[in-house]
Amino acid sequence: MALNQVETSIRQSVVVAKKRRKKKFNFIPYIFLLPAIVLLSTFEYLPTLNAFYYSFTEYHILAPAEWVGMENYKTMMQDDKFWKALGNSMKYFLITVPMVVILPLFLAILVNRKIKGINFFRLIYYLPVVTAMVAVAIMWKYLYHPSGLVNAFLNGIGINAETNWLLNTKTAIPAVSILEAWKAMGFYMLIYLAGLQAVSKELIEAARIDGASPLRILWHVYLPQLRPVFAVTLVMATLGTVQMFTSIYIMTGGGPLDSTMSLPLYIYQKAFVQLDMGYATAMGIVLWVILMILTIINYKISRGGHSVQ
Amino acid sequence: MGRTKIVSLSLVILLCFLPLLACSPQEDLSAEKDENIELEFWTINLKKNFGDYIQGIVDDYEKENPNVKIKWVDVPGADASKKFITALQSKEVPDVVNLASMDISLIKSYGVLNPINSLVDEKELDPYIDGLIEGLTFNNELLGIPWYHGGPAVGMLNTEVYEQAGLDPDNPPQTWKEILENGKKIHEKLPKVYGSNDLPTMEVLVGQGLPILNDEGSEAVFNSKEHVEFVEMFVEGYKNGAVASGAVSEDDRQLQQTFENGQQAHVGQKLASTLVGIEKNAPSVLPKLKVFKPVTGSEGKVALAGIQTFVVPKKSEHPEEAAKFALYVTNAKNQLEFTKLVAIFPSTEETLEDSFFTDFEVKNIHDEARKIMVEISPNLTINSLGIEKEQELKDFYLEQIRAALLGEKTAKEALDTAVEHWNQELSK
Repeated sequence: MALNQVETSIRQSVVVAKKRRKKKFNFIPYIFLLPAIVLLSTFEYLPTLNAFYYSFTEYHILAPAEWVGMENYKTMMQDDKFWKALGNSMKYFLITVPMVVILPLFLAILVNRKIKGINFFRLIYYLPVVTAMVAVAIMWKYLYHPSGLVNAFLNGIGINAETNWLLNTKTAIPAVSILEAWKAMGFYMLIYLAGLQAVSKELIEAARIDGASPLRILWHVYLPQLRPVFAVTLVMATLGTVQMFTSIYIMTGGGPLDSTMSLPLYIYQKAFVQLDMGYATAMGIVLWVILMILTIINYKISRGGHSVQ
Repeated sequence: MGRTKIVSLSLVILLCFLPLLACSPQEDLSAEKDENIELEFWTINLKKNFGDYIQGIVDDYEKENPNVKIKWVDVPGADASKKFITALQSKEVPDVVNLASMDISLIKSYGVLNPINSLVDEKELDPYIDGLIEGLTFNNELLGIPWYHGGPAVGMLNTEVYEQAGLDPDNPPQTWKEILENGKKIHEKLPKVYGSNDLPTMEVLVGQGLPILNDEGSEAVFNSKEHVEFVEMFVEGYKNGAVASGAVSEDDRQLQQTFENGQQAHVGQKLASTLVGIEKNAPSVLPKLKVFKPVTGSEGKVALAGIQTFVVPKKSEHPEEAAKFALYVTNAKNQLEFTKLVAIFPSTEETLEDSFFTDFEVKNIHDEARKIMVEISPNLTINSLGIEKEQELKDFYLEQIRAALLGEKTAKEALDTAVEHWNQELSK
């Protein structure tokens, strides 16, 4: 009997404890998340959903949006300028990405040495990253001027150059890409530097004892360890090239003859110069899908960022 | 729940909803009493340099019209039109808005602007230059009251370059053919110097007497034999250096060959205000420059690319009072005062007849330019076709011209492509 009572009272106390636990559901963290959720929803998710709706409408800001179904997407399929902008993004990718994925590695190896004043060089290489793109783009416009420093240098080394780099349909894209790569290089150098410093010292020591040459150490020890870093830089650089805007806006305005037009710049022109918001948002959605796919690839390659750590 | 938690919770909730307060519809706190009205008046970037002048006008108007209160808002920067468009979507719409004529073209088809001719008596528009009123009238609706503009373009040449090339600077070119021929000679003699950055823009075609649209305004006609020949002249000029290699730049504020860097010999049509920039950036070049009558065709008409105007939105609660105030700001007396403060040109004929414009001592190149501009001012017109997507179509045309200059297409192919595109859009 007594045993039974004890059993019952234990059961009851367990139930009470459970209830209490249930009652004590900790909602505080969620409340603290609320401001961020409200702000993100108001300024990020709702506008995104709105944009998705507007992409199916003809909308010129001043007149109410009119539902046109897939019309904007159909127009896009036949819009030469859209395809040209997309093709240009591919060209930017082919020129910029190899430059920002490979060259910064050598820069990182260079500044990874323990020599006097190395911080100064790190600073120099990183300086373009923190300089405003507008200022950089204007400066590079002068370099590319027909009588600018680039042509002067080429003439100096005996190459007769009168190229109008930014106003020639063949040279404009490489010219803008080089500036973009130059500006971003310091950033990727820093990522590689972090990667290099994370490479196990023991491995390098062991390789040295085994008589490996510095080149062999680089190829067989450093590079395999840096593989995840490569993946991240590759995808980040790709994302960057798809979103190129400021440099093109300042240096060429998309010209000559749309040869440097990028998708973001075209969207900007349609939306804010011609006020064709419906079509612009439709292109924005396509750009968003492209970026999402690239981001997912990024996530998969870097395994959610784990392998980088 | 502890006190701390309650306080935190309240703060969090406050943080969530505080920003939303900004979205609340603003009730008119100054609940207007019977006939007392408030007009919101927008100008573009004038407060810093001309604040006293504008405030003076506002004060005088309020004194003369005690029932009207003017709320002056100076919108900074070049994004004024975008701010206006955003405001049009809200409930708080300004009543009198300073807008560039180009922006009127952009928004006119949405029917958001009040036709001024329905708000004021026709005779109240008499003081304004006819061509300017016509340029702002679309389908018999005057959508803006003309205010000031930078003045008609003038021609400019670098006398030193002309002399070095063996040309007479006192005998400036008068036609496009002459200017291109001179440019060719100069580039041959001085390979680093080009002729000009002039392109056969729509304004140039209009001045040349070459039509853009048919009489009904329903079809583009600028691919005739005469048009092709005229454009070919510039294509040839681009090859031989009469037209600067950087003239195909998308942004005409960032040209590569300029007077400042000594690589430009002359220009057929350029706003005189550029002289101020040259004086500031390249003071040693200014004394070498000479101004002359702008190069035009047989018509002698000079088309302004744009003018500052005042518009009255349809959502304005007091459109008639707003138009009345806009007329006051732009009256001959007020414009005369304004033109004395800065080198601009008025939209009223009477202002131009004042001794300030007719009888002044020519002391420098700015005065010379002003003299030329006053002479041609009565021939002014605004280059406005009054068609849908006008700016977009003009941009398309210019892009084709650039393709022709860069040798991607022949002049005929370029003009045919542009006309085909225009007609497609015009038929919609």
